[in-house]
Amino acid sequence: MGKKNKKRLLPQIELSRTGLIVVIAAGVVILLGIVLAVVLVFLQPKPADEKTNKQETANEIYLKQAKQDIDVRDDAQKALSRGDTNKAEDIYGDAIKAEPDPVRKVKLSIDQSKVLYGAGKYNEAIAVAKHAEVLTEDKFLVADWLSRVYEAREQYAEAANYYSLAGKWASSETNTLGRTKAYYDNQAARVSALVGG
Amino acid sequence: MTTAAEYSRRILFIIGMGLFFCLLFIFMSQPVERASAQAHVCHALIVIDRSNSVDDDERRSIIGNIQQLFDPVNGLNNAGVPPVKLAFWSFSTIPPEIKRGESYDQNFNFVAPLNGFVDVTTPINSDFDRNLNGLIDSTFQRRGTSYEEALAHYGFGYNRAGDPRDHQLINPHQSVKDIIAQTDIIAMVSDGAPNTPGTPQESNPATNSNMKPLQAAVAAAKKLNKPITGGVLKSSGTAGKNSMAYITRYHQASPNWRDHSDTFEIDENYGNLTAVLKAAIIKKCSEVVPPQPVTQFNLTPVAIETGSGEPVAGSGSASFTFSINNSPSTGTSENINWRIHKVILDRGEPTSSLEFNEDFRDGFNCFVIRNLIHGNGRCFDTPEDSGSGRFTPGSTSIDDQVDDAINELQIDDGVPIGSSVCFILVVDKPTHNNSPRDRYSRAACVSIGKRPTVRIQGGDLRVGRLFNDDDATVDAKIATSKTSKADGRTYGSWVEYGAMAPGPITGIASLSGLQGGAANSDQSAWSKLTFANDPGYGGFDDDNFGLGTIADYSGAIKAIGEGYSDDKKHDLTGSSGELLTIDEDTEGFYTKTNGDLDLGGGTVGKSKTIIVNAPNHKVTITGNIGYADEEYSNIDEIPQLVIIAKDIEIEEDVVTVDAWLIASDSVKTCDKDNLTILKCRDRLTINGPIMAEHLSLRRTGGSGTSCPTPDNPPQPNESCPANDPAEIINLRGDSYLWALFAGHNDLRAQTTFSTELPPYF
Repeated sequence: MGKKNKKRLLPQIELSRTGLIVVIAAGVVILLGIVLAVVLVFLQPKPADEKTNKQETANEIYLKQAKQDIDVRDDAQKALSRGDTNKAEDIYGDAIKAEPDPVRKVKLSIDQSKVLYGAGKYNEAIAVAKHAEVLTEDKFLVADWLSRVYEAREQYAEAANYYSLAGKWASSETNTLGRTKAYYDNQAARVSALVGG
Repeated sequence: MTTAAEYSRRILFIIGMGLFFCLLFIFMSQPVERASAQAHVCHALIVIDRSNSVDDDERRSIIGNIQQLFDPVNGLNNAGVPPVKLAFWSFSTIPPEIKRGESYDQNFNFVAPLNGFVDVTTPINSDFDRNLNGLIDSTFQRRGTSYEEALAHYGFGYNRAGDPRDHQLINPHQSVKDIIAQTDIIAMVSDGAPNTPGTPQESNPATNSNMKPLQAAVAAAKKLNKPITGGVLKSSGTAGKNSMAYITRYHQASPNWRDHSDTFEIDENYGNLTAVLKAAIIKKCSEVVPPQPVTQFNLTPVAIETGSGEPVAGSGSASFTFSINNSPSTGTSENINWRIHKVILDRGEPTSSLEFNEDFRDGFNCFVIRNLIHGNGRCFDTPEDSGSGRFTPGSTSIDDQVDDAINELQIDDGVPIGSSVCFILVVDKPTHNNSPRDRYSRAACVSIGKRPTVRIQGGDLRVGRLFNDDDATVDAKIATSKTSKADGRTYGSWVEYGAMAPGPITGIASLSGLQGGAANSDQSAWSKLTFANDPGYGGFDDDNFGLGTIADYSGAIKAIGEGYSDDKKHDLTGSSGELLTIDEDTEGFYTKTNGDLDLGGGTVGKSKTIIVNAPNHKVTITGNIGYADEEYSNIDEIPQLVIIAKDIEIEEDVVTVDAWLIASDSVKTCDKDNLTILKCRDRLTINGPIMAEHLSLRRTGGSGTSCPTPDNPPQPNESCPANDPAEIINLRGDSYLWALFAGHNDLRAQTTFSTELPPYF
């Protein structure tokens, strides 16, 4: 039996040097074109996505900060429930100290005030919030909280003062509640009428 | 071949397994917390729109407003009856990839983010807060507005063969199922009318446009079968409002979209969401949840001052106790708040206005208190202490919760003398009803006083001797007060030389022991010349005769007067209260037998002797009396005034009396009663001996605040309010000299011997 003939799958291509250069050059051009197409089509940021990314970044920051705040609050509440008021104070003290942003410091202080309020330590809650007054020039957050605390404690004169202060600062960026100066002025007038029984 | 034993074992095994699974089934099928109709708590589910039209700023506002439902004042804490628990979930519309007839991941929860029911507490529950903040998270799809999804239709899931729109309740998402089981009411929050399922066109039942979303939502609502209240943004107009009304009326055959009684409007940017949501939840809960059987209680706050009732002076303390009484025929109260207010009344303002005839007053506050005390004082709005608790019938002391600084109030010079310090206990909700509120107890008060002192110089203090014509025994003792001040020193009355009495001697120092105050408060440290007998100071004799009798000075002096020439003897026959004035020419023997005599102030002139004799009557000194301030070269030039009477009284304005005071009954250093620090407050100096059955020291001056340098006690002449006496009784040498030579013009005093004695301090 003789050997079977093997068929070449591909024709044998013979190229001169010049031809080889041309082929290589063409290959490089094609490759560059592909790369350019990929960059232009897939890697360039689009205006709509750019805006979405910024929002997502802001939202991510919001969620991250909210998570941090809640974790601090949980730790402080656990300490308070054990009767360890010093530990609770330290937890917030450390968090506030580590926070560079004055507005965030104020928010943490108000959170601490709420934890104390919830534990029935009303005087301490007020003291912590009042201490936060000096952390930043913007008084909205502190005024909004203290106005309600004082009203709840029936110290109506102080409540009215802080409602008015909240109204004065209602245009603050920290006012995310959508409340207007008119709202706070109305609250101030309402509790002012309660002064004097 | 199976034996009977083997059959038995198999049967027993089957029975055992059956019992096991029965028990397991019973355990596993325990229902979640029953609907609040049994527990009298209203479970309110807030359903929040997270569709694409709600931007991030609005979401933050929604989050902040719902967070405030957990805050004081704005929140649902104690907002009313019944108490509320909150849960939430959110909605948009189903993802577009969910097509009719297709199944989906049954772990997918269309209404996330969500959170189950939590108590309304300050601060907000952490899990609730964490999940609520998820509204910002864009991983939760933001698409159209589907009220059908809002009502959790898709939360129930469906199987492969099913259609999400078939309303088949299969394999519900567990978290949603748990919430549904407990929900009493649903409060929806949306920015407008629904627009899916169906074409993305807003529904409006008023114009009957695009009713498909509403009809789908009604079908879902009927499945849930819960009362619904809901709010939309005002900017959504009538379409939004009508659509929400339509859903709240889902249970009607033709929902009446004109009935907006369960619909509320939300301001732009959700600024009023807290208020409108709170009101809607309270309203709906009140309609749905049966009234909670009320445990009746009636609390009376009680504050009591437990000291002796005497004024507190110096650095003393006052004790208070606090309790809350619940009527015996009632039950245990709910958790109520109490607080303690301090009130300081100014000097002169009585505490009676705060010691209510009833045991309490309702609805008070500091403004009312200030009016009751006529503005004469302060009521501190900020409570000194506060707490809470539940109180069983009977009396419950809260002293273990009250700050020790209130139970044992330390008094110092910071509270003015004459003031009163009061504490009032307040309970905010004294009964099971919403009113009355703020029940104020009767005030427990302590007066801030002082203990005036007397300084006796130039001689001893001896009590217990009788007058020569007196045969009655007298229970004679010496009792004065001492005061410890904040400077750490003790101040009190003192005599320059000795102190003797047949009875006890307490408080007074001898040998000037309390001059400038003493570092040691113990009497033994400043009683060097105080006679002492077992067991303590005083006790000179069992009866009064051991101290002898007072020499008959009055008789001898009257005899001198009787020996005057007629022009120097005067019978005062005017009516009772006749005034005898003194000037530098006045001298002689004045006798008043028909009534009391007033002795005006003035100067007794050089060489003048005035003897006033008013036996059985009272002599009142109405002005300052002094001896002429001149140089004296002879003993007989020494002026002297001797007053002999039954009673001798000195008026309030008199500050100096140079005279002998001999009273068969009493000498009173001030003519006022009901003494306060405003009466008889000028220091009185008496230069001369005093002999009386009763010496009533009534001046109130001196004994002021601590010395200015507590670690540097004052020098004898240095002004120190705490060291100031109210009276100084001074036995000067002129009295001795005059007494020795009165009636003996031929005698003269000659120094025959002198020696130096060591000083004493």
